[in-house]
Amino acid sequence: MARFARKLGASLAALAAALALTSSSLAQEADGFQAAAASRAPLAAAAKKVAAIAMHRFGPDAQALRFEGELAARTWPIYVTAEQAQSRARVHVAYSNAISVMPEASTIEISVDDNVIARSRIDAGSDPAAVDVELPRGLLQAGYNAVKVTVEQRHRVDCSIAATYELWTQLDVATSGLAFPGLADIGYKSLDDLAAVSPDATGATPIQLILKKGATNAEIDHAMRVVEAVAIRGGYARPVVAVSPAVTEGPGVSVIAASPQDIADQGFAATAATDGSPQLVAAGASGHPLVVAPIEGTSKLDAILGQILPPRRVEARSATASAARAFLGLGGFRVTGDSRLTFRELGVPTKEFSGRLFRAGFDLVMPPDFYPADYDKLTLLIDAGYSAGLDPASQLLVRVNEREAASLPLRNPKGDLFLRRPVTVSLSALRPGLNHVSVEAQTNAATDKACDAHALTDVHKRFVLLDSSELFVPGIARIARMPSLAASAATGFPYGGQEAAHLYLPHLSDDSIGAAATLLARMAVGARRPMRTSLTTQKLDLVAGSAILVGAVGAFAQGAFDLFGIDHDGLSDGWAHLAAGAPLAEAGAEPVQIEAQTQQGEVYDQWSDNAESARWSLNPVPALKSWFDRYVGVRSSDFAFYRDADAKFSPESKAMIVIAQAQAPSGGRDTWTLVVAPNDAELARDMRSLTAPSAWAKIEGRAVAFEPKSGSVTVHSGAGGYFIETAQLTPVNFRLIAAGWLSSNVDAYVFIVLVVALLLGALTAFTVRLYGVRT
Amino acid sequence: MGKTVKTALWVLCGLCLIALATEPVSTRAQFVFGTSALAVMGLIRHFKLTGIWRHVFLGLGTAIVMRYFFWRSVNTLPPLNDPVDFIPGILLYIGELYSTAMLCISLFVVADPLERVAPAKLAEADLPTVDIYIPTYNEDPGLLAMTVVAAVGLDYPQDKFKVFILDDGGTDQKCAQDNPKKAQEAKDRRATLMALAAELGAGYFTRARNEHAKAGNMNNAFGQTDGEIIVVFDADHVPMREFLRETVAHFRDDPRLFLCQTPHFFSNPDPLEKNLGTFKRMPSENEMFYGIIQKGLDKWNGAFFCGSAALVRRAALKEVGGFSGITITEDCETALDLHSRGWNSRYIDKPMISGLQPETFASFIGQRSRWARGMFQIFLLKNPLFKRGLSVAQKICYLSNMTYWFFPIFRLPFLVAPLLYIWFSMKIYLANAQEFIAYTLIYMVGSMMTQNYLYGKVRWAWVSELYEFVQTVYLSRGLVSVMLNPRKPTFNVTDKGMSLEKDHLSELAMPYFVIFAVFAISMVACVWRWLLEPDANELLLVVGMWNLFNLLISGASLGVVTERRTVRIDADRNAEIAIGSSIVPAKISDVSYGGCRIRLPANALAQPLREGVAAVLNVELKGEGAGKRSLPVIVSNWQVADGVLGVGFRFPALKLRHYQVIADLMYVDAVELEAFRARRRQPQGVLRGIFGLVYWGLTEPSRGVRQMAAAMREKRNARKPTPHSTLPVQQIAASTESRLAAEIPALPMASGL
Repeated sequence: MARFARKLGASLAALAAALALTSSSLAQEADGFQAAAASRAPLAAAAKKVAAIAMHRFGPDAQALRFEGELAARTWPIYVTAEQAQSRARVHVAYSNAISVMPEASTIEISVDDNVIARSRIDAGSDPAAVDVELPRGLLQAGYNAVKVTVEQRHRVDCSIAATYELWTQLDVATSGLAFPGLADIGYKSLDDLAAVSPDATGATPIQLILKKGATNAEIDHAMRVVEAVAIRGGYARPVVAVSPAVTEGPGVSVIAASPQDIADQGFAATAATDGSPQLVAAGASGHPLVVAPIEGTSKLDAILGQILPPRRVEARSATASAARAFLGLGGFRVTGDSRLTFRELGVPTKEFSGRLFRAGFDLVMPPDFYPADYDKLTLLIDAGYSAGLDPASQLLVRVNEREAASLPLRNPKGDLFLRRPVTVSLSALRPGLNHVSVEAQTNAATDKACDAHALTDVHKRFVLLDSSELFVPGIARIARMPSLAASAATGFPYGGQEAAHLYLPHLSDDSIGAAATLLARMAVGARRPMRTSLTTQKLDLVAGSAILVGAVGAFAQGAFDLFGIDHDGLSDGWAHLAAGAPLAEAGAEPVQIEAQTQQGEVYDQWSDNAESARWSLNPVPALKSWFDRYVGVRSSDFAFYRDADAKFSPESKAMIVIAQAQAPSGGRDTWTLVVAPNDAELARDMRSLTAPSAWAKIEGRAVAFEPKSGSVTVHSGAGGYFIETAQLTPVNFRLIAAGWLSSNVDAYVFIVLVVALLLGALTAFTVRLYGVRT
Repeated sequence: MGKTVKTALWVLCGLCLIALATEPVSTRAQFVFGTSALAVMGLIRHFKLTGIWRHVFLGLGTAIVMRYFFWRSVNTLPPLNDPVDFIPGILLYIGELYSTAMLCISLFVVADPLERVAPAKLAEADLPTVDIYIPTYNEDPGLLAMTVVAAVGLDYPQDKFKVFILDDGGTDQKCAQDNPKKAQEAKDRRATLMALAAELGAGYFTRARNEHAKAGNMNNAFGQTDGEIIVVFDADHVPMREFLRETVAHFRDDPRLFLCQTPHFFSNPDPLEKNLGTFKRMPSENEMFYGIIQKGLDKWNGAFFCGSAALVRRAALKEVGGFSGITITEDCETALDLHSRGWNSRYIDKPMISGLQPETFASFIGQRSRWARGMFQIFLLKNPLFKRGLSVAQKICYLSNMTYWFFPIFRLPFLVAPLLYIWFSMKIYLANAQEFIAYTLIYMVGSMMTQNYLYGKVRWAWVSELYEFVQTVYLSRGLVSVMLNPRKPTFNVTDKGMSLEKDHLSELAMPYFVIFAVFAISMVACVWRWLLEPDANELLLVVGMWNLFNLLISGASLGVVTERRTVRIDADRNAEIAIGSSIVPAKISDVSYGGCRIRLPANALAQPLREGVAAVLNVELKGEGAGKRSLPVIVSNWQVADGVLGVGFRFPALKLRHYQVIADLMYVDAVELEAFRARRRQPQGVLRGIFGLVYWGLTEPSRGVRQMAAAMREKRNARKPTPHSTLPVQQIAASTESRLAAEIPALPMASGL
């Protein structure tokens, strides 16, 4: 993709140069700002330079480093050790950008802990460019620091809103981050410094799990728990676990969690603490970080985990308030019912905006047992203003999970400034786990129609969103509606509770253990506590309880697939050529494009909506239908009666990992989750790709299929399901759950109310005769 | 199943419905529920299902209202931190809260209207002794005479009942007042009524001072008579012969019975009926009360004492020292005291009196103002909620009667709210179009259907709104004054029997024109905004519809305040006139207690007419073989038109038997009356009601405006001297006719029915 863009850029460069209207004063202003700090150099040279020096990359994937539209910003909380803080640190950002970005009006701005340290024109042209700035001494503090990149971009020739979607700037994952040239020793001393471990060139944080050959299931379980605890302590957004017999130096961190004897056998006895507590040590010549955790039996495990897991308070490790805030928002703000958060707390600052499409947003993590249905509304109390002369069609849109959920017209031709104007979104638009809420303002002005030089570089402020705006989450129904891969992906639910689940690996190999450990570590980071599983290779052990099943397609019986509603024959046929051997596909493709599966009916509806205007003069039915959809909105899917029985899920053969969830055969609250790939090698490799947030965040429903080549995730959501009772069924909670269920089963609601009203009528007739004057 | 079990089941079921109705389900679920419930209600109505289905219908209606109200309370109120929107928003909400509370109360009251079965007829010896009180203050002696004649002629053993005129217009206080002219009038009145009483065989009481108004007047007589039962007739309430026979048996049936109330029936239209021309086809306003609500109240042993056409047990009254008189509605106050002492009441749904109601808009407002202020007074001074001895059901019953009269206050926000949005874009009701349809619209349709289902027979759709609107404008002021000073209001006797000579604007009309103008201008502004403003949206459309409704109602109200001339109904009774030497057949076209009018061929009379000449009218009485009776008359005026001679007579001093003839001419019997009442009870659908309202709303303003223009012209002309020659010729005829009309205040209605 990046290569394609570069090529396109080269061919369009001449044309673009001809079209570009340079506003020299503006350019000077942009360049003049802290010009001394910013220097631009060809990427190739920069990359070479950076490779040699110690660096803490931003991570965790390319999507997170992509800035689209007219305004985009992202903040990373980055942990630095005392040594790093003392050293001559630099921020290094390498980027390429869309050719339609107008350099004269586009800037990239970098700030550390709310101090702007660099602002530069975005002008990568045909070659990638870089911004490299040395940080003032004393700016970085030991602990977490917030590094923020803000990108503002304008189109060269087009003033339409549609054109803003063409604008992008992509930071290079491998070479963007905090650099510490000349720092020989990062200085890993305590477990806190786990957070200083940088992601690798793809943005993932590799964890090397040292396992001796022939480790028992219990030993593997223990080692996995320690790995999960390390990932949590390090705050790794994207931990990737690989099993290795010995420590090899490279990116990431190594973990050895075994009996003292085994540790000694590996040659690390000297580094282990005398009191048997876990330690982070610098191993080997390069000072590679290694966690040594001596474990003597199960009883000792909990103590070890307790020592590794982070102290509760984030502030304790955050150098600054902004870092603490960024850290809180890492992976999404966790909200429960009845909570209020200002946009300031959500990391959305007050911003004046002069473009056409303003965008800001935040991630919310709803509890896994949040019941998403239409029983209440999420309210955003917007404090904002807009200037006179905007197009009357201007509006503020709130999107939840990329779906347009609510709007607020900005129609006053004289402009307006308003406080606490409510925009509401039904709770059914949210899901358990990770949600993205974006606030978008379309602020086309009359001058955009002409789109002359003045309009293109117009710096007149059109819109302002104040950080005093507020998000209000109402009381929510607490019951887990299963299967819910979204909840599992974001919070590990329903695993990690008090009861241990089986981790069933039908074929035990380094690859399958690594894939399972990656999955569990990723879930543990979301859950903020280690999972609780017990490894088994025996199918017999699965008679009762929850389980996670990880393996190659051939290792499971057909019955297992039936349970998950997956078309077994289609899957095994599609993967037949891969089943035995090594993967065919090339490694390392990062997911860049995500598609949700669209039902055929929806496509038809979308098209018929578009075609409607042409037809309606002849036929009143579409007009009535559109009126009905707009003002009534009742759909057949609201009625249980009209919902089809669940169809089987048959993923395409290009999909390399299929994850599915279903109620265990033992029933009740037991849940099985299946992770299946053509073979173990594919499993380990593609699990690594799948942990990229751009793919991971798309996991939801009852089954997903991941195509590593395109990076797309196909979601299969079924109608049926089961509930896991998590909170007490208090009257309040029960009422909300009932409202949610009845809203999803309108026919049931109407039937029940009518019957009760009927009954009440009949009873009234009988009862009223007993009172008053009788005749 | 025992009573407790059934009640517990009912309560349980009700709680279930409340729980379901307050589930915060989606707007789509609400829409499907609402439309389904309306559909079932429609089916019940369409197939005229009764019994249990009536309660099912009401149950569904209640569910719709509960859902609406839950949503309205939780989702639609403006935020507290925005007082400019919040304050009017909460006022509107309180207005709705009031209507919902009223709906709940009235659902309870009419849960199971009681159909009374008449008790066994009493043997002659068992019949109780009866005192009939006819309190009077300033009514015309002729009008009073009709009532006394009818009362004396009641079908009841002569030795068991006595009739008394209780004259408050001829008290010592009145006769001795400073104004010599008025004092003389009072003395004359006393003399006239004493003579009348003597002639008609009734007793006469008056007293020293006019203390405690009507209650004091009756208490004065109460101490001087001894009948077991006391009957009260207002001076204009002419009873039918069977009145006592149909009622007294109830007092033997239940020894704790203190009150037996019968319906009031009016033989003339109220201003709304008269000015909109609905008297003969639309149920009267009070029929909703007497036709359904009183029956519902009766079920809970809470029949309402209406002050006239009622029987009261002396023993009960004695217990509380006679009629109560703290407030200006002594009837309600007295009944409240007796109900709380464990006495029972009954309501008999058979109209057996024929009365008059105020015919001009001003007197109508005066009467309603007294009722509203009186009820509010009792609410403040003797609140039934805190009255010991009343059952819960009775408390609710009394509350329903009193709180109804708060409507003028709570109706105001509904009138003002749409203006706030049209002019100031204030958002005092937060809802999007989808919610508005699923909740508000369905609620409005549901409550219209419920109202129509409950009261459709006795009240046309939207007519309640019109009655309430025209009263709101003046009554809201009266209520505020009571609130400030609960003991101040005094008893004003309602003017009845006033007749209007020609079309004119009521003296109270001005505010209605102003309100109409405000709504009309706002409507224009609303359309303007809709067409020209980019900000226009569905909300504006909804508000526009709302304002249109207010505009139509206020338009119709212009018709109510533009008084029409009293239209006489031709009595068309056969008679013979003996005048001078000729005896010729004639038709009686018009009759009142003051005089009558006949028609006969222009050349029928041998001698020319002279004013003051005595004549005799032989009248055929009603009923087969009732024969003829004669009536002395004196020629008053005459004119000839189209070959027909119309002669107006006045009555000389009459004897009892003559009054009986006039009564026969003027009043119908109970059978005819019942038939008339039934004819008007044609239920009208909601849709037809809407058409009717639109028709009135569109046509009546033009009549009002024309009349207004005429009034202004007249005013201008009055300032400069009018040339004599411009008086049109017809006006001379009209003025002669009006002279007769002035002499005949009450409307004859015998053949008009």
